[in-house]
Amino acid sequence: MHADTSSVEPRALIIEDETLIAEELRVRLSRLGFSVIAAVGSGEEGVAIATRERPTWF
Amino acid sequence: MSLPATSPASFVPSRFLNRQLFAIVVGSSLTIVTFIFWPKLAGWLLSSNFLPHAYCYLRNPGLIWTNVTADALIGISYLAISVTLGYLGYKGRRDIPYHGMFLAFGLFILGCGGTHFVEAITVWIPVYVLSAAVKVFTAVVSLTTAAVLPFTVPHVFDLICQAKTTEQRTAELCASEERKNALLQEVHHRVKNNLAVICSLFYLQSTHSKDEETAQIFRDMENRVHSMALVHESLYGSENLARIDFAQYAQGLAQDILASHGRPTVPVCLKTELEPVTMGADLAVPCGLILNELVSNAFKHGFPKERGGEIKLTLRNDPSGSCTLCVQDTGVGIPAGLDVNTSQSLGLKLVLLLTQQIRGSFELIKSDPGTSAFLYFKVNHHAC
Repeated sequence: MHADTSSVEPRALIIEDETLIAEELRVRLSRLGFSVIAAVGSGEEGVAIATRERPTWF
Repeated sequence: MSLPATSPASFVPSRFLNRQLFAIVVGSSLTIVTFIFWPKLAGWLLSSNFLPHAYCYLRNPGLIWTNVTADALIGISYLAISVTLGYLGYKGRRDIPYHGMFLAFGLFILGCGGTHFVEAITVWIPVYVLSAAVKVFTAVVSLTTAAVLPFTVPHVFDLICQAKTTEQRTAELCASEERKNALLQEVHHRVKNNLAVICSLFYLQSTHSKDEETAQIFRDMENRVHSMALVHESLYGSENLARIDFAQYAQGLAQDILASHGRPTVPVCLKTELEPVTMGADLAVPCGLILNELVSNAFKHGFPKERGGEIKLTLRNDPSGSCTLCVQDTGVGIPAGLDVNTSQSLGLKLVLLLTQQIRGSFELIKSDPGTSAFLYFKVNHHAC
């Protein structure tokens, strides 16, 4: 994980192949004030989105 | 000399040792007694009314010393080889098949060495009768060894075949063990993932609940299933895939429960004093569920609203396998007159049922301050 403390609204990318666990994480992160940019099921997709979107957490 | 073993009885070490010692003692005693009562035999054996070999060598010092040195060196080497073979045959009598053959070779080589020693002596002292006796002894031993050796060849080939088969089977077993471990690891991983999905379902349902009480029910269920998932997670990370270190598990579970109740403003601290104890899933799952109830209860009932404090987790384990798990809190304490056996609390009912399952005992006492819960149970150290 990587934290960028300078960001005002932390943005998170979820990489998890179990969609229900990913959904739980999405709800938990949203409640903690994160903006979840995407939840993907594979590392490749995750890397592609992470390269494009530059999340503060993944 | 010993013949190749054909029945297991021949390998009985004490019988073998006794036989060898008996033969040596009897042989030496007979020789000494014979020489004492028949001094003429010794005289005849050591008679030297012949020409020493030195004359044959025309007293050429170079030739004499070359022969004597070579014979002495061969004799010493043969003696050393026969001692080594004898030692090997004696020490390995339990493990080396046909150890008797090693002793036979040892005796044969000893005889050969003897002939070379006598050969060196006869250069100056012509004890040719002794020389002939040593040669006859060597001939008998060599002939017997030569006659018996061919019969052991099929057995030796059998042994080589068996050794090869054993090697192959060991390799197959290792591969099978690896496959079994990989499969077990996969199964524990799968079970843990499925339980984690159930946890997620409970969590998601709790976020859709209309009132706090219903949400709490789902969170309780989530924690219960999480305590089971954690056992399987610990199992696939464990060395033998069968037993987990409960101390490590308890530490992780207690931290997760506290985090799930998260109250950052007035913290409830966790203190642990856990002795390592390993157990299988059959014991770890009920113990984990009990621990989950006890820590959750301590948190929920001991520290209402803005009350802070401490929850202390202790695990003691004595060598006989008796374990004591203790959850102490500095909270408000149990209500006066609470009877664990008649309590309507589902958490306490689960604790009692699971304690019964693991054939343990449970007590809940009011301490000052707070409450102390004790779980006593037995761990089978040898079970997998």
